[in-house]
Formats: sequence, C-alpha cells, structure tokens
Amino acid sequence: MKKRLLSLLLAGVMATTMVAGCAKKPGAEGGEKGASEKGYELALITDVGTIDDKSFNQGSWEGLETYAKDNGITCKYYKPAEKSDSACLTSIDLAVKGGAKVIVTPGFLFEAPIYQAQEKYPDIKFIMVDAAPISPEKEVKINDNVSSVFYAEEQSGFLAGYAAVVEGYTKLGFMGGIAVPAVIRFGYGFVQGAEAAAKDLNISGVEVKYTYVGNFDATPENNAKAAAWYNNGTEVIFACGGAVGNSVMKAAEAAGKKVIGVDVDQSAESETVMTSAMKSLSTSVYDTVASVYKDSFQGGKSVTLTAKENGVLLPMETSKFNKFDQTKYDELYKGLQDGTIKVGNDTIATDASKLSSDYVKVESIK
Amino acid sequence: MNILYFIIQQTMYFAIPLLIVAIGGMYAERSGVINIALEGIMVMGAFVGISFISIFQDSMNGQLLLILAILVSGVVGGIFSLLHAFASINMKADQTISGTALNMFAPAFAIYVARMVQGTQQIAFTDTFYISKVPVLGDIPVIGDMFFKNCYIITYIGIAIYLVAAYVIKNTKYGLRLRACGEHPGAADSVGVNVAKIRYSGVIVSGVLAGIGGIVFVVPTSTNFNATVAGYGFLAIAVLIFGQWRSNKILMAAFFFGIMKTLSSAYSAIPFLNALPVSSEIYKMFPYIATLVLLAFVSKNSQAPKAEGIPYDKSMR
Amino acid sequence: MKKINNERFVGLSASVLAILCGLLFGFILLLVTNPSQAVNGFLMIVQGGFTDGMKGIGDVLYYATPIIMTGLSVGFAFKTGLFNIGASGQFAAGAFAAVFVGIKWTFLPAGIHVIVCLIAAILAGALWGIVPGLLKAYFNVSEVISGIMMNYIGMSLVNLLIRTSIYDQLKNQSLPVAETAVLSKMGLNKVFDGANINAGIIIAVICVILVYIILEKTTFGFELKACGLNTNASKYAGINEKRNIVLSIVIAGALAGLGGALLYLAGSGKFLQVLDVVAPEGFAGISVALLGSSNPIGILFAGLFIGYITVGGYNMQLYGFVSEAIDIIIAAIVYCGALSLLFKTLIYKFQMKKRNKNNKKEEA
Repeated sequence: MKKRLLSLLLAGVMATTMVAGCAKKPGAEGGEKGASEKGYELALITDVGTIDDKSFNQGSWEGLETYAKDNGITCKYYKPAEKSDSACLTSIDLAVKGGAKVIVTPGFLFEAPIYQAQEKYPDIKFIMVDAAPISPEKEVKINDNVSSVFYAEEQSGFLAGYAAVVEGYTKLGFMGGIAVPAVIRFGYGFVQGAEAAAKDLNISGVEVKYTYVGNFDATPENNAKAAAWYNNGTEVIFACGGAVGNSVMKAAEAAGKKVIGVDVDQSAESETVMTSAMKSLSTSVYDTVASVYKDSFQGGKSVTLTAKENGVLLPMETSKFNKFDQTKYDELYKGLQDGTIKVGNDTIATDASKLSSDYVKVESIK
Repeated sequence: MNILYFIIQQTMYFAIPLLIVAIGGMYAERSGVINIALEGIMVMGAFVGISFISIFQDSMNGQLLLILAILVSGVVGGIFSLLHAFASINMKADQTISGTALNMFAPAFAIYVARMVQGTQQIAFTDTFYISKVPVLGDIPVIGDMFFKNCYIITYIGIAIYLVAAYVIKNTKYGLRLRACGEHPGAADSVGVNVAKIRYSGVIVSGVLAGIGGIVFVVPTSTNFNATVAGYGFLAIAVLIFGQWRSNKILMAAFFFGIMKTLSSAYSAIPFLNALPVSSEIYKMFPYIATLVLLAFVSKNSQAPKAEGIPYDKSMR
Repeated sequence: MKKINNERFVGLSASVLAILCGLLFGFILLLVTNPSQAVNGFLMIVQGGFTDGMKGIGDVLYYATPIIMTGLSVGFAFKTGLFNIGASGQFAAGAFAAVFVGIKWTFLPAGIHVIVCLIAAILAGALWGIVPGLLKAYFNVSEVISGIMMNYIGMSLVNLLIRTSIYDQLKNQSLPVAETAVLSKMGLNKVFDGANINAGIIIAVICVILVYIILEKTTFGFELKACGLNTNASKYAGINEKRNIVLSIVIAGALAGLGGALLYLAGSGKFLQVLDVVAPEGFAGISVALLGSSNPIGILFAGLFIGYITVGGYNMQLYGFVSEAIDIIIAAIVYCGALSLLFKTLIYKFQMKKRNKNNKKEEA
C-alpha cells in the first residue's frame, strides 16, 4: 500500500513536470532577445580560481567593484567553462555579449585568448593583470586597447623579509604556491630582504626554509606541512599562494606562530597574520578602469609597477609589528623608490638555495 | 621525541575522520547496501556544519558551538543519505549509480548555494575549538604529549563514536540483525526481521557518521570550507575494505592511512625521510596500492557481506 | 522483435522522464534562489548550444566528445555487467600518454605523429583497465573498488610523471604538444566559425559505430552481453567468462583513454594540470552511459545532450546564475535515472492500461 502511495506521488510529480515542460516551450521562442537587454559594463573574468582566491582575482575584483559602486556602473564577473584558451576566449565573448566595455583578466591564463580578443574586439578595453598578450608562438603583441600590468613582487617580498628579521625572527619559512614567476619574485625578494636586514643588524644564522607546495589551495596536506615546519622551529612563514595561506594560518594558530600574507591584506583572515606582502592590485585596477572613463587610458604597453608607482606595499596600519616601525618602513620604501636599494627579481638564481650567503642560509625543499 | 609527538598529533587529524566515516560505511555495507556516496555526504555535512559555525560564531563560541555543529552535520548527513536509502531499498536501484548521483550533487550544491547566497564560494569560519592542552590529562608524561595536546574535542568524540559503534554491531540484538541482513536477508526475513527497516537504519547511520566525518575533517585542517573533502570519502571506503568490514581492523586501517597522509605532507620535517628520494606523490599513492594488493590476497576468503549490493526482493526468497 | 523494440521504447521514455524530472528540479532550484531571473536563466539552459548559432553548436560538439568516449567506456562495460567507475583513471592515463608522445616524439612525421599519440592513449587506457579486469576475473575483487583505487593511483602517478617529464614550471601544467600532434580541424572550423571543433567528434562517432557493431553484430559481443546477463548460464554455454571480463574492461579502458587524447589534443589550449583532482570526465561518463541506457547510439545522444546543457549553463551566468546549477541538474537526472525501474514500471502500466482499453473496445 505504502509503495503504491509513493508511486502515485511520484507519478504526480512527473505529470507536473511534463505539463511544465510543455508550457515552457512558447516562452523559449520569445526569450531569445532577452539575453542582452540588461548589460554589465565592467567585467572581470576569473582564471580557475574565484573572486575569493585571496589573490589576484580577489584584489582585481575589489578594485573593479569599488569603481563600479563609486560611479554607479554595473559590473559582473564570469568564470570560464573550463581551463583552456578557447574557453577563456568564449568567456570574453560572453562578457561582450553581456554588454562589457572594459574587461579585466587576472593571470597568465589569458595570454593567448587576449592576443586574439584584442583584434576581435578593438573597441573594448582589456586590462591584464600579471600577464601580457602572447600568441601560442610566443610573440608578444600589445594593441592600443590593452593595458598589461605587472608588479615588482620582489620589492614587496623584500619589505616582508626585512620586517620579519627586524622583528627578531631568525627561522623563517617561505611556502610558495606554484613556482610561477610572480611567486618566485616574492620568494627571492623575501630572502634578499631577510639578508639585508641581517646585514644591517649584524645578525648571522638566519635560516630560510623554502618550498613550493604545488597548488594554490587550502588543503590538509599544506596544513600538515606548515605544522611540521612550525614544529621544527620555524617562527614565521611567508605563505605565498592564495588560499595556501589559510592552511598555514591554521597551523600557525595551533602552534602560536606567525604568518606573512600575500597579494592582498590578509590581516582579517587570522590573528596570526603579522603583515602581508601586498601588491596594489585593487588600486591599480581601479585607476586603470578610471582612466578608461576619463579618456586617459594608456594602452599598447606593459608596465611593471614598483615602489616608485606605489605598486607594492606592506599594510602598516593593520600589521602587528613590535619593532619594525613606520619610520623604518618609510626609509626602506624610499630606498626602493630612489633605487638605493636594489632587489633582484626571478632571474637572479635558478634555485633558491643559491641565494644563501654569510647571513642567510636557504634550505630549498622539493 | 618532539617529532614523534608531532606525527601522532597530526595523524589524529587525518585518521579520526577516516575512522568515523569508514565505521559509518561499515553499517551500510553490513546491512547489505553499498554506499559509495560517503564522499558526497561528507561534503554535505561539512557544508551545512561549517555554515552553521559561520552563522552562529558571533553569538557563541568554543566547544558548545562545535558540538552543536557536529550534531547539525550528522542530521544533515542522515537526511541526505535517505535519498540513497530510498533509491537502493525501495526502488531497488543500482546502488553504485545512486551513490554516484549523490557524489555529483553535493559539491555542486555547496558551490551553488554558497555563491548564490554570499557571492563567494568559500565559507570562512573562526576556529575557537583548538585545545592546546587538555587540563590534567595533558600533564601525564608521554601519553599526555601524544594524545592530550594540540588537539580538538572531536578526537575524543570520534573515538567514543567508534567504541559505541563497534560495541553495538558486535554485541546487541540490533547489531546481529543488521549483520544478518547483509549476509542472508532471506533468512533474516523468515525469522521476522524487517529487512527494509534494518537496511534503512544502516544507511542512515552511515549518513549521520559521514556527515559528522565531513565537519571533523574540515575543522582541524583549514580556516574555510571550499566545497570539497579532498577524496576522503573514497579513502574511507578504502579504509573500510582494507579493514575487511570489521571494526577492529578498520581502526588499524584508519591509522595506517592517517600516518601515510601525514608522512606525505610532513616528510620534509622528518630528518630521515627528508633524505630519501621519495616524492609526495608516492606517499599519496601508497594507501591505494596497499589496498589493491591486500584485496588481491584476501579476496579468496573475503569477509565482504555476502548480500552486499543486492536489493532484497521478498518474492525471490 | 516487437518485444525488443518495446524495451527500447521503454528505456528511451525512462531516460526522457529522468531528464524532465532533473530539469524540473533545476528550475525549482533557480526559482528558489533568484525568482526574478529564474525563467530567463532556465531558458538559457533549454536553449543550450543554440544561443550562439554555429559556434555554440560547435562548442557543444567539443564538450560532448570526451564524455561520449567515457560514456561509451562505462556503457560498454555495463553491457558485460561491469561498472567501470575507473573510467576517470583510464581517461587520465590516456590523456597523459597522448600528451607525452605529443611533446616528446617530435621525430615522427606529421600525420603519423598524431596517430601514434592516439594509439599511445588507447594502450595506456587499456593498461589502466587491465588491472581491475584481472583482479575481477582471477581474484574476484569488485571492479568498483579497484576502479576507485586505480583512479587515485592514476591521478597521483600522472601528476608525478608530468612533473618529472613534461612540466612547464612557469604555468604549473604540461608543455604544449607539437603542432603535428594536434588533431586536424578538417575544415570543420570553417563551418562552425570560432568554435573549437575538430576531428575528435568524428573519431568519437566512429567509436560509437564500432562499439555498436561489436555488441550487436559479432559473436564476441554476444558473449560479452551473455556474461552480463547471466554468468552461470554463459558458463554452461561454454563461454570463457574470465577472458571476457578482462577483455571487456580493457576495451572500456581503451575507449576512455582515447577520450583523454581527444580532449587534450584538440588544440583548444587545454593543458594537463598538476592537481589532486580525479578527472571529472570519467564521472560524467557514468551519467552519459546511464542516460543512453548503455546503448552506443543512446550514449552519443546523451553526450550531446550533456554538452548542450553545459553550454547553456555557462551562458546562464548572464542572468547572475552560477553554472554549477548544471552539475546539480545532471546529478538529479542521474538519480532519477537510477530510479528507472520505477519509471519503467509506470510506463509498462500505462501501456497495459491502454492495451486493456483497446481490448475492451475490440470486445465491445
């Protein structure tokens, strides 16, 4: 009996489905024009991460969204259907169909797609973060409607490494996401910063454990790895890979140790975040979008934002420093700006362990 | 010694969720229903449980919140597993397919709801549950360092669940009936056991435990939930089989797998392992390879429940 | 003859009903989360690949190609009574082999190179299938369990091999394959302008036909199906059951492996990633096989259908919906498909009623 009731119920559900299915058809024909009636002028297309990746997607989106809100413009982010050049290109098509006039694309994933799209949509402005249009044949070509923005991550890493040693830490860790150029620049800068501080303060025996975990995710494995380092005596870890930071913070909370965040100000994520090696993603996207609306958009070239352009920074207001103060920060920053402090980028060594010196010993873990 | 304590503490984080979920799986399978939906149920449990923490963490905190969240996860897991129970017991559906459907559904649902509600995919929570040292017990030399420091209350809840579950299936009338339904449902039916009811209970227990396992997995290892439990549901199935569907062997299997997981990520901090030319992928593969090899050896007298996966049909008796 | 036709009809109607139920569930989901846009969003799903004209249709074919292959893999094994949940691992193995050969064996002349890549993928997939096959045939290990294990072993092994042999460290993915290893566009890109279409879909269709012929027109296929229907009876009929189990899952593995090659040699700028995620195409194959009632022709259409609503779900972002809604709908369809027994009984009952009525009419 019960069974019969149940089948009856399900039959009822199915009947409704069929009716609903039929009733829908006339609508389907009329609805085709609906797609573009409402537009989103500002668009961001994420790479495989989403806008909460604690990294360039998030920083870029914050800049875009703020500008949209300040000026009453519509904005929206899209996610490609899969991680491939053609899917990225399709998502550009979708954004254009959605009424986009400015499209922001964070990450190297868009190198080839934008190379094509800049020709296909000459009236649309593209802002590329951490990438430039490159053809599959490795030819770089930047049209006038494309602005490509890079950052001098090594300077940001330098500031963080310097601060960590000034704070009195001698056992440092660097946990990069994946060994892509931006991450390497952060890491090498971090080591150089630690070295400079050790030299200035005449501390010898600073140790840096250095590794790339191979992903940008919060995973139990990353957590265990960080926990193992803390347990082994590491005092502060520079977690340089989006959500990898969450795993490291978790381990730091348990061990009562410190973390240095990356890309965006991560101080709100956890009490353990001492500071964050930031790049000005949000402001630079904001400014570039603003330049489009002020007709001062400078496309056709690729710029690397350094301390000179205030492209890198530590968020001093939210940092939890005891010894490293604003004066010291300003002094360093000025040095970076006028070139008296020079920081090498990702080209200075093939492996982090080669950065070892009298002051700093780097242990590269593969 | 320090490193040994560390490995043991870390192993707990990995082994306890595996243990809970595998024991859950044991209840379903020994009642005669294959439940490969454990992964999906874990995701559901973790999703709702972590959302619960995230919503209520402003008004309460500490162990009470965690225990409530665990209860919520369990209930959600139980309800979600009803779908599987309905398909496999009432509808006599292919249990693997219905389980696969749940596995596909859960992460998509978690992402969809999270993004539609809060705009972003990850659900962050504040960890107010961490226990750096259990009072009194943590002061015991050696044992205190091993089991009562750097831990979460869930470790003890997990062990309690295990003890109760192992006792019930071995020593109670209900346990006997459950096992009978997995071995000879016809015989059980003939002595007046309601096979469908018992199997429902088995699946629900597996759902509740998998739901709990989901949140127990996420809390100690991250500060947010990102719609995944990283294949731990499938790993729990491996634990279940490696443990040959018997609770005491499952306990050992869970800890074996937990240690392998710990080594795969923490080997760089363990001096003698760091020197070995073994990459983390090898450690990751090892539990699965071990399970396959074990299966090949013991399958001739496999202890798998005989009626597992076969819908019970009264008329076929 | 009539009976077989009727069975097919019932199977088809059950699939259609499952699809309708899944879509209804999806619509309710959209309605609950965002009532004002739900109808527009749902229309996007229903319009699927047709929203973008020929390009949209081309994209449907592109997305359908790999899942038709994994669907064939799962469906073929299903006919023999085996559940090939290991298609993900076989897919990954095939994809790696194809990409590896595509990058390393550049000494091969154009034209031959891509074929060698495909063969490598077939062999790798078959190799990954043979393990569960042997375990099942000679050790009586459930192919579901060993398949799951092989999926994870494959995932880690492929990661390891990528990192040690064909790794582009700057991008954390495999290097691009040589021009000569990319599947020919065969002029299809002229028809489907802007879409990612290539010879892959044609190879998939050829596989569909081949599998159909094997299953329906050869003694071998008959034996396989007999094993699936009743192992004991087939044993009495003198069929070598063990050999057939191994062969069946090896062929299934080869199909899935070839699917991996078709996806990664498509020239769409897709690269193998070093990620701890089991290839989702394998699980999609389960849905496809189920929707297509494990019938090769049915699988072809089921794959196209899933590709179709995938494109639709992606376009749905225009209305502020998250494309994961499609995965939810597919899961709901698979679940309803698992209840096919219920649907089938209902349809039978409906037919019986009709027949009774007709009979009565005749009597009158």
